[in-house]
Amino acid sequence: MPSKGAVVACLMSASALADVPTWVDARATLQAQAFQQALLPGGPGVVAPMPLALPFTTTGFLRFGGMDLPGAPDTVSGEVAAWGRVGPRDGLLGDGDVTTAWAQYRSGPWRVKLGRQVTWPGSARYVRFDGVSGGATFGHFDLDAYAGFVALPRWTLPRGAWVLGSIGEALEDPRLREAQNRAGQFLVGARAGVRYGQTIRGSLAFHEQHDDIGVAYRVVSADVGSQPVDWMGLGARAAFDVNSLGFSEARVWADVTGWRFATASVDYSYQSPSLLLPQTSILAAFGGASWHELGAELTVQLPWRLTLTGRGAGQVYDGDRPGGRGLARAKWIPDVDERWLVQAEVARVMMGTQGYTQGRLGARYRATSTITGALDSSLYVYDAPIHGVSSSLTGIASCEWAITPWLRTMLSTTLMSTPYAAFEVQGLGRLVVELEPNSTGGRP
Amino acid sequence: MTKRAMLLLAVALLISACARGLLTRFPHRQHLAELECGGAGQKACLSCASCHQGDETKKDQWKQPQVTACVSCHKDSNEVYANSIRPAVATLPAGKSIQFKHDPHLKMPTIKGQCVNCHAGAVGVAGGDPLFPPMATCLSCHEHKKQFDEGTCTNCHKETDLKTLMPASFLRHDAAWMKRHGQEARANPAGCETCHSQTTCDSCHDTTRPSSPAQRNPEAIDRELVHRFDWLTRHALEADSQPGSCVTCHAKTECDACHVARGVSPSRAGAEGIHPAQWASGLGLARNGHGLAARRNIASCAACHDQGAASNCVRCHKVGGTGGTPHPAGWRSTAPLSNAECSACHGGSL
Repeated sequence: MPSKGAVVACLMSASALADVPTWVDARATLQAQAFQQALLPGGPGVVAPMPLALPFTTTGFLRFGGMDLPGAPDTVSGEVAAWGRVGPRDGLLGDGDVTTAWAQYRSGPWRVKLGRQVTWPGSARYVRFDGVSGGATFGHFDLDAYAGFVALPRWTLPRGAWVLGSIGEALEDPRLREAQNRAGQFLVGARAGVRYGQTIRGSLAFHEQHDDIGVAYRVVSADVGSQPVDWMGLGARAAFDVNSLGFSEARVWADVTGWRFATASVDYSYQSPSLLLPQTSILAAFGGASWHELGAELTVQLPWRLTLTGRGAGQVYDGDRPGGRGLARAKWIPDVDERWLVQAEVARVMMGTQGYTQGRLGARYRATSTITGALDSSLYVYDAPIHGVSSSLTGIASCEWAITPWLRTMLSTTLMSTPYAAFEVQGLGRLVVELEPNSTGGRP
Repeated sequence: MTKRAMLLLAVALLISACARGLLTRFPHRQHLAELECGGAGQKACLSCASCHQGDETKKDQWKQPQVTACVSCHKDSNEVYANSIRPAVATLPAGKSIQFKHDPHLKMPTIKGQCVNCHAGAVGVAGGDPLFPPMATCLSCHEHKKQFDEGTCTNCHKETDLKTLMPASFLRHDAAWMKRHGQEARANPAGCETCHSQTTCDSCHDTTRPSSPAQRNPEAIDRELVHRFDWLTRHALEADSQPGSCVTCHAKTECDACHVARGVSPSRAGAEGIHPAQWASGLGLARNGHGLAARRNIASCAACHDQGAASNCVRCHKVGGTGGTPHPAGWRSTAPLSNAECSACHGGSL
C-alpha cells in the first residue's frame, strides 16, 4: 500500500506539470472483521449453524481531474474504485470487483466518458455498465446519450448466500456462485434536458435495457423541477413503460424551506410494481395493482439544539386495503461542541391486518475527538404474532477509536431477541486504514 | 492495585492521551455583554477587536487570541487561557475557513462595525445562534446565482473543505431529500460531482458486493438505514408495505437464493411451504388468497415464482387453464404473442 506521503508527492508533481493544477483524491481502506451470529433460523424449527466469519476486505479509490492533453489543457478527469476480499468462508479464491473505472474528456460544451460507469435511467433506477456516454451543453440545453454492456449485480444470481439476521449481511460462498453470463445484456439510452438555473428545469429521457431473454425495460421518462421562489422547491417525474403502455411510477413533491427553523415537504407517489419488474419476468404480465401514497414531512429546529421530525404517509392500493406509515423523531445535541447526540423515535406501520409499532432510543457520545461510543436500541411490537412471537428487541453498542486520522478501529456488539431467535448475539470488530480521511470516496 | 483498577487506569490514560479537544469554551457573552465596564473606576469595555485584532499594520488581520490578551485583566492568565480555549480551537470547523475580508464588511453601514451582526453566537446563550454564521447569512446579501448554476464554489470555499461540506443553505439535503436525490442527480450530475464521486453513490448503491457489517455503521445512529435492527423479521412486512420498493436495489432472484438456503422456497426439494393450505387451490374458498396477494405485490411473488414458462403460475393461468386470465383490466402490451414471455401462456393459441 503506498504511503500518504507518496500520494501527496504524486499530487504535487502532477500539479507542477499542468497549466491548471491537476488534483488527485485517493483513498484506500483495509478492513479486518470478525463477525459471528449465534443463531440463524433455517426451515421451520431448524437452527442453521453459523461459523465465525473473518473477512478481510480492502478497497481502493482514486479520482483525478484537471489533467491535460496536448493542446487541450484541463480536459481529462477520471475515477477508479475496486474492492477485494479474502476470508475463511471465501476459500482460497477470494472475491472482488471493479466498481468504477472511467475517464472523461471534457472540452467546451462536449464531454465523453468511457469505461465502467453508472446511469440513472427511467424505471431501472441505478444501472452500472461498461460502455461509453457522451453529451453536450449548449446554453440552457443538455443532450446526453449512453450505450454499453450491463455490469450485472452479484445479487442477480442465486449464490447460496446466508443472510445474517438483522443486517442483511451476505457472505457468499464462491463455490456456489454461478458464472455470470453477460451475453445479450446491454443498454442504450438518451436524455434531453433544459435548465434555467434554479428557476426551472426539465428533461425527457429514453432507456432500453436487454437481459439474456429479451427486452427487460423500455421506458420513456420525464421530469421537471422548479424553484419559483427562494423558499419553495417543486418537482415531478413520471416513467412510462413503452411495452405495457402504462406508467410504472410517478412522483410529485413540494419542499418548503422558507422558515429559518423549519422545513416541510409534501410528496405524492404512484407505483405499479409489476412494471418495475423486468418485462422478461413472466409475472410482469400478471399486472399487480398499483398503489398511491401521499406523504408529508416536517422538521422543526427548536431552541436547546433540539430537532423534531414528523413524517407520515397514507397509501391506497387498487382494490385492496389501505396502508400507512408514520414516524416522530426527536434529536437532541445538548452541547455546542456536539459531544452528545441523543435520539428517540416512535414509528408506526400499517398494512391491512399486519403492522408494527417501533420505539427507538439511541445516544452517541464523543468522549474525545478520537473516541466515540454509541448505544442504540429498538423495540418492535407486531400487530399479529410472527412465529408466535409479538415483539423483537435489539440493542447495539459500539465504540470507535480514530487512533490516527488514517487508522480507525471499532468494536460493536448486538444483542437481539426476535421471533426467530429467543436470544442472539453478534460481535463485530473493524479496523480501517485510510489514506485520505476527507476523501470523497465514500465511507466504508 | 487490582488488575481491574490497572485496566481502568490504562483506559483513562489512553483516553487522555487521545483527547484533542473539540471547540472553544471561552465565555464570549460574559466578556462582551455582562462585564461592568466603561464607568468611573472601571476598565474600558471590551469589543471583539480587543482580543481578535492582530497586526494592526496589516489589513484584515483577525486572529485567534493568544494568552497575552488575558494578561491585562487576569492575574492567572495562563490558567484562564488554558481553561477557556481548547488546543484544537485554532482549527476552524470545516467550511468556516472561507476566503473572506472582514474589513470591508465591518465598514458597511448595515453592519456598522459590529461583529455580532454575523457572529451572534458570541453573545448568545447556549443552544442559540452559532458562533460562526451559517452560509445563509452570506446569501442574505450575496445571491451567487451564477456560481450556483455553474457549480463553482471555490470563490469562497477552499477546495479541500468542499469534501466535507453540506450545501445546507442553498441546496437542502433534508426535507425528503432521500426520496428525490436520484431525481436531482439525473437533472444535474455535474452539480453532484462538485462534492461527490461515483464511489460516494456506490457506498449505498453498489450491487457488485454484498453489504458488509461495517457498512451498517452501527456507530452512525443518526444515519438513515433501511435495514437497521431486526430486518430479518420485518423484511416481508416492509415489502408488503411498499410493494416494488425492494426491486429498486434488489434483483428478484436474490430473494430465492436466501429462501432456498433456508428451506423456505419451492425451489428446494422437500421444503415446507410458506403459504397456508389451499393458498392457490380450491376456487372460491376464503383461504385461496393468492390472487389478492398477487394483486397487491406481484414483485414478492416474482421473488420465488418466476422461472419463465416453468413457473407454476403458468400451469393454471395459461390460455385454457383453470385459473383464468391474470391480466388486470385494461392490460395492454406492445409485445408480440410470439415472444418468450407471452408464448408461455399463449403458445397454444398461436
